[in-house]
Amino acid sequence: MTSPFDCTAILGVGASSFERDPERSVLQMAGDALRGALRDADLEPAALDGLIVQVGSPRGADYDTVAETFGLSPQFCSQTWAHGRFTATVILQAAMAVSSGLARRVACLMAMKNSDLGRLGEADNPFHHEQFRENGGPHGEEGWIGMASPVAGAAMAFDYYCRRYDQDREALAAIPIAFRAHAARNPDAVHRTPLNLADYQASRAIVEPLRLFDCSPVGDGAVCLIVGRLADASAAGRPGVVLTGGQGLQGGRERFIFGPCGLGLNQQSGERPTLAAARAQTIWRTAGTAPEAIQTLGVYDSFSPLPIYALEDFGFCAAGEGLDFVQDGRLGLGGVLPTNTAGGQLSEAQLNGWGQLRELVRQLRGEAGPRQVPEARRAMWIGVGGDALVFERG
Amino acid sequence: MTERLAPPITRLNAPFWEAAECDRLVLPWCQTTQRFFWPPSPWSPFAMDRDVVWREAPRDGRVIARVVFRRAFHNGLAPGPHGVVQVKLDVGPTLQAFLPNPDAERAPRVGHRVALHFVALADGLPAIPQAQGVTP
Repeated sequence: MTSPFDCTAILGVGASSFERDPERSVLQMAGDALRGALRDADLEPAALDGLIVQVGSPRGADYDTVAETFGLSPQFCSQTWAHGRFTATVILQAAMAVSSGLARRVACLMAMKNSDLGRLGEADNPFHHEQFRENGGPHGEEGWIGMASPVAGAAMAFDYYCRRYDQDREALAAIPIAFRAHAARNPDAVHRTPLNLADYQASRAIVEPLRLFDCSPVGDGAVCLIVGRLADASAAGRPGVVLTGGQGLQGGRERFIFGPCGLGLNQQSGERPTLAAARAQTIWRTAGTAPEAIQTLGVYDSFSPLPIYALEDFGFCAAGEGLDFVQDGRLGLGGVLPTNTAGGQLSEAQLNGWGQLRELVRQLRGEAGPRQVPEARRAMWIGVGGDALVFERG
Repeated sequence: MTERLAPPITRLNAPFWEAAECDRLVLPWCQTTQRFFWPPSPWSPFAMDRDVVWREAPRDGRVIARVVFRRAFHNGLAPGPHGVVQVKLDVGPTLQAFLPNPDAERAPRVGHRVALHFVALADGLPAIPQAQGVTP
């Protein structure tokens, strides 16, 4: 077996701007991100021999269009579906392609545009059909009973979570407020206006118990990361960002995309993993580290309850303790676990977590400016389906 | 894209929707493990075999989670509000159900005992599961 860990790295990262602009082509955004990543890595386009696209049509560009449009000739191409949740999977697949010798430098691209689409869940959005998918949509949708749009699944899980653990839903405010404060220090962020508790409490309900500021507005933008050999990263003369551990996307009856493992919703058993089991998962074994050693975290936050579940599922705290864990500024800059330091999907831009990956690279290189976590050497990404990555400064 | 508030009815799930038209609940039953399961599958998720039949199931359960749409996503449900609840049936599976008039004092809330009934939202649409409160 050839492990992708400790021998692959992020060679370069680039991004488009993130403003909502229906006049802009998604290919313009993709080009900005791709060119930015190539310049960052000090590479020519011909150096790329792999391409993995995370969001294809109808809101992104598919791999074939990307390769043809930008004059690339990748020998290893792949693509995941047009939703989030595949961020870690794309990076892991690229790293496996590199470590196995199928490719040497793989461009991992997420480019999408939502500003020209109708509201997710309504009839003029191209994903309307998903709520009528056989056996239900990918976020618990059942359009025929009015269970429309991903936000409804997130609301259902949070309602159950609060009842099960006797938690006050108002405690959730800590998450969007923390990430908005980070975005204020990030000129690329779409939402930089300060958010306080009164603003949060006054925001309108979308699907109760979730409110406007619990939801990330679907965005426009592109991010590209180039994955290659650690040896090639070191040659570029800057700190390499090494992939030291990973864990794949998980499925099954204990999994619901917007709730923690085993919560008790849908067909879940209600049996949550113990703290010991959470801390014995593949990610910790491959990375050879533990939650206490993570210095900055990127986490999928299309809806504000999701980071709570990530902290529990990965053993930062026990099941039912996540909402307590995020209080008192623990996720803020200067806190014990600075999280989504660029603002996350809730405030920087809803780009399926690729903004967070870009930020982790900046943090480990010491390039995060006013958001820099001092001496950041180990960072983690947690997705929304049990997937995760650990990176270290090389 | 036109809106259609109808489920995808196939040979896989037709027995459920046919029974719903008569306000009856049927669920797939794994003969090997003697359990109901959901969602429908030609294979038992418990035994990975095809020894599956449809059986009438008791419709009683408890609301375990509830959401309220303050603004409908569907024209057919506008202006709202409407709710959706998860009902953990006494026989095992959890189903989602429509909840009309969620703000009404008598509307089921989390922890309440309910029964699943099947009601069409409009002429020409299939009867869908609705959660109706029952006296304990």
